[in-house]
Amino acid sequence: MFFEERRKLFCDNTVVNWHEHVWFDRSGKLDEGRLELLMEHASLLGIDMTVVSLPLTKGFCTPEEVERANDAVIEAIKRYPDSMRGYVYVDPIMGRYALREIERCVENHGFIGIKLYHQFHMNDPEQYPIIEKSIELGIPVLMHAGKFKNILPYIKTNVTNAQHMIDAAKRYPEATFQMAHIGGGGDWYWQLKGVKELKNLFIDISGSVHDSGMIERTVQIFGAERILFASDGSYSSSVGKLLSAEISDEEVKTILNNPHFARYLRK
Amino acid sequence: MFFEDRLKLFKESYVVNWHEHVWFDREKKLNEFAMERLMNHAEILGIDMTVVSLPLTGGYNKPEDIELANDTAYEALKRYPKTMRGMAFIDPINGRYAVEEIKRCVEGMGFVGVKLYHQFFMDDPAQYPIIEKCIELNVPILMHAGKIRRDQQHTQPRISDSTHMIPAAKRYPEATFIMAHITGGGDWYWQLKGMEDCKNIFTDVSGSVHDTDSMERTAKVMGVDRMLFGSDGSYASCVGKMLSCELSDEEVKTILGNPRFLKYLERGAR
Repeated sequence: MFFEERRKLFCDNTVVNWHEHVWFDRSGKLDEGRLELLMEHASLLGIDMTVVSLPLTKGFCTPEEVERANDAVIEAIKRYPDSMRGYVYVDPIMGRYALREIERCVENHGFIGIKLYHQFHMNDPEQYPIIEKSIELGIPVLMHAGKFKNILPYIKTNVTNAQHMIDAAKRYPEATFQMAHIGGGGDWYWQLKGVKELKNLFIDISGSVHDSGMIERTVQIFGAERILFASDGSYSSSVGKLLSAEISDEEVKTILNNPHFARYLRK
Repeated sequence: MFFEDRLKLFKESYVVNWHEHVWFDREKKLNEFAMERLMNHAEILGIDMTVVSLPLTGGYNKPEDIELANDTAYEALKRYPKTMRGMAFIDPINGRYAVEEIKRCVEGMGFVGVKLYHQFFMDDPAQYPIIEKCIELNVPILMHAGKIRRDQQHTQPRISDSTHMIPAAKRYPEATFIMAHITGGGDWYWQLKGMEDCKNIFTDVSGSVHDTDSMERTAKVMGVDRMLFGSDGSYASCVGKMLSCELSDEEVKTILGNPRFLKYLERGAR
């Protein structure tokens, strides 16, 4: 009964999924089948709004590749104007053209946030102009994050962990950061260290990890008002961990539709 | 006496160094000390023209950083309008802005070629728009190259070797490629395989390696008319291998001032 009652919270409240994606198909166009499946499941679960981006995960990207990715998101949100919003994906290696791409997507196409990947750590000076642009436009920055073991030490990827997020959040207290997927793999417990006092640092619960105690501990450190519901491709895990988390219904409701982030949807 | 006679060839012939660099100092300004020393030595040796670029060797680069590198190289060219030419350093990660940067440097500042590094292999599709722009502007492409050992590959995972140069040269027969420093380290003998028939690939003799037979073998496979004198920071080795190689004086003179490449120098600094 407990799970079923929790399930009702999804249906009875506004639910925003702050971390999802659309993807290319094999021909390099918007994968419509996956998009439809995503939104069909959102509808079945009672998720009212899905915030998507299309990050390129291969490494550094040309401006054209980044623009094509964001164009696919534009196409997706046009299909679902009432239930989908977009985050603009950029690669800081684009320099001043990254800022131009953010402006294009936010001002011309109503995107509501910025999505970053592992080209540079969150606190790398290459990110400063992007963070400053997010402040200027009043939008959050979602950074792919996790505390991982160095499996292949000679392959250099700059995956951001809490340490990088904290640095950036301290440097830019007026910016809003979304540290991605506490359940995205790696050491989530480590990720929660030192973040308590940083009011401009939020976290989403997406990812396929649903260790026992993870959501409870995240609520204990961040407080529900700094936690965002999200799935990032893992609906069952992300819904499931909210159904079974030993936190109050009020806290679950806060996570499902984070009041601080609700303002960005109005853009 | 043999070496001294050979050294005279440098004085008597028109000598072009097709692979050199200027660098930033610690404040990211033109390193004037290194540049002056370079040009001073060029004069002593009898090198008439030095072609320089300022490559950024750390990985991928923002358009702003590339522009600063090329602006800095341009500053050097203005100091030596008669004895220095520039190659534009380009990173294909900048997409269409990389192509714009070639145009800016060649048409706006009189650069005579494009210098590529190991961000992408020479035959990567990301290079296609760059190669096409070089064909349009009639400038050669100098690609950092070498056959390095597998256990060294993490340092330059996308360094081009001849298996990347050859497909690019075959795909674009109207483009002119310089496979950099045949003696820049790695397996130079391996690099020469398959090179006989790729008439639009040249190589320069720069680098600190001066293995016995490296010049002779290169001349045998590629022909001296596809070899360019270059130093890439290794004057002693590069002049030395010209002095001691068992090639005829005529052949050495061809390498020193390759007549097939002189046309590219006509575009002077602006």
